Amino acid sequence: MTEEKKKNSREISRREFLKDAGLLIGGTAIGSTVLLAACGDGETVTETVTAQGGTATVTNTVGGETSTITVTQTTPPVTVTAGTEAGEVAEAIIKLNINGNDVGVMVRPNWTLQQVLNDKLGLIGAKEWCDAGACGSCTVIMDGRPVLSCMMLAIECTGKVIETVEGIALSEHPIIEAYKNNNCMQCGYCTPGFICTAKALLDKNPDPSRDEIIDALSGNLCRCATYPVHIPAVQEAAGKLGGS
Amino acid sequence: MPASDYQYWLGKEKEDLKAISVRGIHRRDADDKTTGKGVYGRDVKLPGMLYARVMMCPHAHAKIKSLDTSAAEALPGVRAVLRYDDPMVPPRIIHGWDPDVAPHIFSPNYTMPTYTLGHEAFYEGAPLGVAIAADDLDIADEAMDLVKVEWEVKDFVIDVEKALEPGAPHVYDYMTSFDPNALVKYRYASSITPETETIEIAPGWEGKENANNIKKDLTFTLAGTDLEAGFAAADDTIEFSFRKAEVWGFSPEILSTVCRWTDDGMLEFWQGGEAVPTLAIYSLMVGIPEDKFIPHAPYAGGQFGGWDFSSLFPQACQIPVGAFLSKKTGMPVKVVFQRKDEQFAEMDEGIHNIKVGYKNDGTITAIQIDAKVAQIHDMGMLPDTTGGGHFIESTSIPNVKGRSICAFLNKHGFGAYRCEQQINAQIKQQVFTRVAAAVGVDEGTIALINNGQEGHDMAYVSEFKQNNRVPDIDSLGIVLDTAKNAVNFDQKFHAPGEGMLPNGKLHGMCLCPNHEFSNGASPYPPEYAVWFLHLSVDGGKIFMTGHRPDCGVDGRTGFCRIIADTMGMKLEDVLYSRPQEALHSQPSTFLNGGGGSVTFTSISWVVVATARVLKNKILAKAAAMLGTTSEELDIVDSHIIFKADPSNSTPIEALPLTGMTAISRENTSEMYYGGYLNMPFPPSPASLFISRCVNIVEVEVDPETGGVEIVNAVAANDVGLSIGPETTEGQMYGGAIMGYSTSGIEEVVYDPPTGTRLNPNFIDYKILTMADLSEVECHMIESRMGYGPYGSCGIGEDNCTFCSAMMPAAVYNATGVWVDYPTTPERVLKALGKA
Repeated sequence: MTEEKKKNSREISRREFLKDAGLLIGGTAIGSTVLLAACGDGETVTETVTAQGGTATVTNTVGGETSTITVTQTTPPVTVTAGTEAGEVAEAIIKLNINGNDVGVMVRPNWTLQQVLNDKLGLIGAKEWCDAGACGSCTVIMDGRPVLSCMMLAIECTGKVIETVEGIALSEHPIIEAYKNNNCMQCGYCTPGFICTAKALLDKNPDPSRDEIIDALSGNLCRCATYPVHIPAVQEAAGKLGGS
Repeated sequence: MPASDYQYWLGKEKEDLKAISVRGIHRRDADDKTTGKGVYGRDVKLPGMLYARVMMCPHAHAKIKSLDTSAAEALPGVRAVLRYDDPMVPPRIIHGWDPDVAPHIFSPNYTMPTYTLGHEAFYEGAPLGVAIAADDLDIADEAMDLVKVEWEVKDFVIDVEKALEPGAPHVYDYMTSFDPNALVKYRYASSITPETETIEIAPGWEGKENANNIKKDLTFTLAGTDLEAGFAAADDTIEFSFRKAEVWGFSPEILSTVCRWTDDGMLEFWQGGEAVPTLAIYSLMVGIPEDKFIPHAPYAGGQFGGWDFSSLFPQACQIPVGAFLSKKTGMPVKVVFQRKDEQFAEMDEGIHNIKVGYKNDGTITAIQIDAKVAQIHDMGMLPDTTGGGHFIESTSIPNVKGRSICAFLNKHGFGAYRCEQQINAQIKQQVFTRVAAAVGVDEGTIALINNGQEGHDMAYVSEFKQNNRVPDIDSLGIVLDTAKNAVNFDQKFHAPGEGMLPNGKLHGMCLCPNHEFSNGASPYPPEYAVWFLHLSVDGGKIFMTGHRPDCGVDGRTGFCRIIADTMGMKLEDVLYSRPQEALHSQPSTFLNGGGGSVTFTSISWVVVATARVLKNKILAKAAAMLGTTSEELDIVDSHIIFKADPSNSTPIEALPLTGMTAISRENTSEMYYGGYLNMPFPPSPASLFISRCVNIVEVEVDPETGGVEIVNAVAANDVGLSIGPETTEGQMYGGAIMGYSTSGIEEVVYDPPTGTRLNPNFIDYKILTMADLSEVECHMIESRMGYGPYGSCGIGEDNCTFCSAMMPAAVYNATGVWVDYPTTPERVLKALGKA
């Protein structure tokens, strides 16, 4: 088989497609100092980035409110080759509110939120399992909704409020203790994703029924099949939060 | 240690156990796993670390004619390119685990032949050609796309029966003088019990046109078997066949390995896995002695078999490839797979032809099995490969004979994916359900009528138990009653095809009676565990140092429970130290750290023995300090007490005991048989298979769509004694759901024209979710008849294995027609004549 044919036949995952799309978006938008990024809820973020030396200042306007953060870059800029055409793709600084803290982070346009959380911010709770948006292991809570961080481009998330399992644990949310009490983990790889989905459910529905719990958590896969014990765990947490 | 010391627990009633079988204790890994702090192999990141990808063959069988890596090498950010023809890469073909590595356990041909990084691939997705290390994965991927390959695409075969036909494509066409039965002579000659089993190696394949793809051809016969007489004694016979599709043996965590060299030439690596990496294999692949490896074991994101990745390809390539790339760059290198790169499958794919003779009361008189299966691991007893094993281990059926032809295919490795006993369970289920239907009873009745061991009835088993101080309890009767009562089975039971429901669906039930089998690291020779354990005391705490055996069964907490109970310590005063160190005590066994429940149970003997040594040391030192003798003292709730006056106590932490240690490196087989049972070698396998279990599943089949819905599931296991009840239940419901998933919906689909996989992703490869099955009613029975301390036994693979057999039988009960595995809607509709 020729190389061209091999390339044409290469399996493209949904996430690869997403990342390639991100490169295109980033390649056109990040060349300037102004980034317009569409947010999940149709909200528009205007972000101005000015950089000098190793320090960048980001002025961010979300919903009419303006905030400014300063980021010190610790690694030199990286030049990469995107797609099949050699060329430079700039990095961009995005601002996130993660677990209550404003964070500025330099990202490439094709990086997923899960990559940024894991590799750049050291928040390893959001796990990569399927790499295709099918397992729920990378679930985080964004603006109150459970989202698959492997399916979100990081640059799309600027200005978002993100909650990860680390933040849920730090806040001493009762779902954590409930998961321990009910032995909800075996290998534990998918557990953080379940916790994020369960916490998002409880935020919106403090007294979920058994069917509502199953409906909410059925997008999270567990090969150890811990499924039965997640239900009493969520119910226990609901009880401590004042629900049933 | 005298035998009586191993039996001390026999006089200890369950209510006297302090940390054992107690509910409400958090797992020791619960904090890590609920807070995101748990570091898995995928999470390991070192300063300056590079990232690497390995080329995977896009063809089912192909050879590289030319490889141009110049463009990849020139790409900015690429730090090293490792080609197959690099002098670093050993050109040899690795034939699995070498006999020099594990002569008493594994054959010369444990897995299919492969290269570390070769120029030829025998299956789609095999690592070959080139590996690239770069600043990040994006660059490594881009560089891989720039590699130009000219392929010589070869003929391939991916079907077992076609592989055995004359003129079939030769899978391993480089092999011209391969003796397919060499491994059999080597392996089984030393592992069977001659008094109860015999094997024959089929002669005459040499030189035959259709012999190219034969891995082995064996016939197993239970001692005393006379098939002709057995079938003659039957009132009737049934002949049938069934097929089993390939199940993907994936782990949730996509495998990655970080390698780096130390200044003094040691290879340090981080890899999550259920077992200690077999360094002897990696020594061959990397070219350094075993003592120059420093393994680290971060958490493993689910591994359900294969023991360690050295036996699985392409997984095994990660450590040598990482090592070579790290050597080239002088930097740490993380070799990262993509989801589809992880390949492995349960070994039961194939076709199984069975003849069974039975009497009208359900007594089975003879079973003959002819199996043609995909290339498999060669572990376990021979019945594993013919499917006759579970008839031997827990029935009185006197005549059992099986022939198994294993064929090489242009597919990845097949092995034990929770677990190698699946084929035994499937054949037993199919036989029991068919005979039950033929005589008008349920499968539980068939199990009771034929209950026994090695062709003997239960009197034989009772005699064994009585001679070895094992409680003589009717395990099968208890679990059967428990499970049946839980679902009101007798009221719901009906003949196949006679369960029409008011909603228009078809009601079906399957009852699976079997035994708590022991495999892997059981104390049964030669598959015993040799385990290293170090205990120390400091500041009133006991610290246990050992490899963390854990694929989810919570070994850390379990061992701490056993130490606390044995020593009289509070559980919170026993800590598992250095859990991420992978201590390889015995490089030539694979059993020193496998993470399953059988391993846990077996090596718990070592934990008990070591804890008793340290307790005795502490008591001796305390006696000297308190002016008495150690016989006058005991340890209760982390206090030294005077037996005569327990109120006279001293906290252990108040005594200067720091630095006291106990070290064990014990052979669990010797401890169990030579100590506990006081049996001569070789022992009877009966010692391992006396506890029973029953699973029941209830389904509704939609005859219009073919959809199969599980509406009820029950598991009743005689667990001997549960060390940690919630964990044990987790193995029961978790295993059951996984088993129903594999027998109900899971199947790797291939593209026949190309021999490549069509669904190596979780969009197209389905497993059960919480919406499909969210409850399994679990009942633990504690007979204390197990082979571990306290009479415990491992059950972690049992429910999964048995439930992997059940869905076709449940659908048969609903519809009256048999469907092959898995029972997907397409298969059901086809069986019903609607597709």
